[in-house]
Amino acid sequence: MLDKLLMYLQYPFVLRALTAGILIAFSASLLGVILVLRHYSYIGDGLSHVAFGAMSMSYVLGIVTQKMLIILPITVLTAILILRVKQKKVQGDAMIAILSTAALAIGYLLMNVFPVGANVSSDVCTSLFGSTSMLTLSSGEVWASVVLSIVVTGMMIFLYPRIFAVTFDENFAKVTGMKTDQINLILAVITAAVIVLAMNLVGSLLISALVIFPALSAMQIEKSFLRVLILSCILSVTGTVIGLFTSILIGTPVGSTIVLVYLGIFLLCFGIGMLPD
Amino acid sequence: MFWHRHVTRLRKGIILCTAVLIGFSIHGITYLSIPKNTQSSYDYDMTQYNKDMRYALTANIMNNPGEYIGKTIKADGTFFSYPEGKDKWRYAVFISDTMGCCSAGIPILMNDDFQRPENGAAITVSGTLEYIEYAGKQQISLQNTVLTVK
Repeated sequence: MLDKLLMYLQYPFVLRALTAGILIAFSASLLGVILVLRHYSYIGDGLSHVAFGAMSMSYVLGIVTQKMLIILPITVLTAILILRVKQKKVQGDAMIAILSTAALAIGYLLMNVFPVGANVSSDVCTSLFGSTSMLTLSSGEVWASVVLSIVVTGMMIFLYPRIFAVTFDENFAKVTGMKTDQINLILAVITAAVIVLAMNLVGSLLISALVIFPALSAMQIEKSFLRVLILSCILSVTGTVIGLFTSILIGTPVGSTIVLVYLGIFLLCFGIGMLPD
Repeated sequence: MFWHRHVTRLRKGIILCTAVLIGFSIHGITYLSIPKNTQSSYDYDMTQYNKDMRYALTANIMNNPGEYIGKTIKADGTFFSYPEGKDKWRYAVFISDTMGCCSAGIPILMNDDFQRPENGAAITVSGTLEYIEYAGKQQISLQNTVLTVK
């Protein structure tokens, strides 16, 4: 088995998958802690469904090669709507559910009413389930994930105190004079960008898991914000590497294998958290 | 007191993690007996890979041809031919992923008088990946191809 793994590791596309996977896992886990603490755990799933709806729209409009011009603005606007607009009648989780299901329905309906090119089923498969997209990344896409991780890490380093304040008590932060709207806007834009780009690289199934599982797993063991952030990154990267290697070796789909590894890690952390001190 | 509690919990965690990793390794060594490509005479013997890896490698060959020029491959796939002009035919082997939703094809070069299988026939091909001139562009193709219908 080790021979097989070493053989595959010599392939450039496996190394690209590993690099992009680690970087995306790292970025998503950093954002995940903030989103889970703010009760937006399902935002990854919601925004990726919105991105799917936007992708369908771009196909119908005939904008296939430049589809990001449609997908990214729509998803960013949706993220702003979810994270910034405070509606008393429609709470955060309900707002995500409404937008997610509506966008998925619109996307699927558009693709049925306006049948488009031959590669659509492949794109649907790739954007929703990841399929083998992670193993077919180009060098440009790997560079995109490098830039993405630099932006997310930079945001966490430079805005850490403000993000901390907004995450735990937004009203108090606002009273102290902090521009919480700006922080929320930055978070919304970066969350949307991470989810859209990662969805194209690894699929919406995996990006939702990348946001939720490492953060929740880390919270089972650690209690301080910083420790949870660090442990979340470690667990996320570890889970991605184990999942990717497992899927390559036993021939299972990459996205779902990584998600199942995350589930295993979560159960393990949950067990550790339950242990008496 | 806090540190003592923390270290105890961490130690228990490490023991649990080690147990899981050992269990995983034993399971892997026992059950995952995958044939070794190192015994093959080809650079990439895709017949020994799982379906997703076959598709991934094929897609990468077509997307990043420069990395694979001069390499020998062997692959299982589906035969596809189409006429080009009056008496000229072009051929390709298509390789799909496990779900069958994604597929990629490698053009194959054959003599025109060879016994052409039906489109969709399951075939095994082997040969060397080289560039050919096609429609004014360089295109990667399988040359010196040996084709067998399964």
